Amino acid sequence: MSLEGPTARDLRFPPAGIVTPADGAAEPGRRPHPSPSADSRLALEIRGLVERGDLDAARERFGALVAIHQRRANRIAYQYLRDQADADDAVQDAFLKVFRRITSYREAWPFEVWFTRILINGCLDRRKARARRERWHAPGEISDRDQARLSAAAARDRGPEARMLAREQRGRISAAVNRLDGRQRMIFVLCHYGDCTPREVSAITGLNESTIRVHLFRAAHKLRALLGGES
Amino acid sequence: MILRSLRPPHLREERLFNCYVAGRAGEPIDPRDAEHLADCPACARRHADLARWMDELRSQADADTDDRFTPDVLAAQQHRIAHAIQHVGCAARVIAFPERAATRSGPGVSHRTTPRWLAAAVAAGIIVGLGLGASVQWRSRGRAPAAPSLSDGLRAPEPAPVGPVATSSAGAAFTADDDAFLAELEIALETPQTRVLQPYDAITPHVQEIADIQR
Repeated sequence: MSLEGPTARDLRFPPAGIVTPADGAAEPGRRPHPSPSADSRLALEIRGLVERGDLDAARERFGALVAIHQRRANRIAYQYLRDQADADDAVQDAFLKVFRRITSYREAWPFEVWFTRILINGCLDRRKARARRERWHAPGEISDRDQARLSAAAARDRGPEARMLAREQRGRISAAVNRLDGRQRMIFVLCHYGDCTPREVSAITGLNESTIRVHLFRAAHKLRALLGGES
Repeated sequence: MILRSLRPPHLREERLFNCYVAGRAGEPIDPRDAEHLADCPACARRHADLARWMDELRSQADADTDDRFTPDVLAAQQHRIAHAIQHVGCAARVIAFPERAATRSGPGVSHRTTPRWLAAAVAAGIIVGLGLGASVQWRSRGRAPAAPSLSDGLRAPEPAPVGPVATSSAGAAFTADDDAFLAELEIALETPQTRVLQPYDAITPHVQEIADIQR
């Protein structure tokens, strides 16, 4: 009865802000980044402003934080969810959650890791909700408005042959990524599309770093097999 | 010939992949692997092929995302986020207690604000209304043809079939309540009491499967 395979439930990561063994606090072998990056410093500044009650200034500074992470966040969410509207909502929700919980942000780990964890948990929820919808709801007829929108998009997309082929190619790649096992897909998206290192993905997911490397290798191997060794 | 036999075997796929990941993350490559890559043209070519293939995947994903999340879309998203956080941290609006009522009732003092006759009139009105309603219903039942009873189940109009809701687009009319309900349903399906029914569920065609066949 599981919707996304047996690993779907296991995929949910610890709530952001809660220190887990993978956060490295209790592990002497692992250490957080030596100095906070620009975005982490900005997050700390916003946290300070919120704690002092200067919400207007905090909101203003938050805009800069959004600008830094927005493109990457959309890439991760879109590559994982494969739906523009869903990805848009997931990113918006993630930023809103970050602002709401900014006082629980700790400098022990980079802001990027903390934010990605929140984003990924939101994406997982959305994927599960979508699977439920697909399971229990029959798809209806496409409304005239939707049809018009699709036709307009198709007309807009009609271009040179090369562009069409590229689109087809992207479709094949995304279908192949979608065929990966839930955990492999998540790790591949985070590492390859989200620019996270295996260590950062380990911090995000709470999984062992060597496990991340194994999953990443298997994902790439499977993708090469599915796509015939060329993208 | 001797040198060739002394050379370590080619790098396995996993090690080659680790070299790529390390290079991309800016981490140092294992010195033995780095040395091998420098010495072995075949492995160096495999490494370059892998890197080209992986980079191509990434550039396709970038192009795909950039096509969809244009600067305008990103600006609109930023605007929505800015708008949403405007309300975060604002204290809930407290509705002032009506001043007249507050001043009228002092602590420990109870004033009767409505006269007794008004309460009695309202009660009488309700009783008369109920009585009239009951008598009208009784009369109309006597005149009208008999309404279908439960025993006439075969002749009674069939209720609308209970089935999955068809929506204009996937999730268009889907609310958080619906999702919560379906989540509860999924949890209920996994309880031990319902687990015995799962084999039946497995042989029952699902909505999505039927829709796929019809398409």
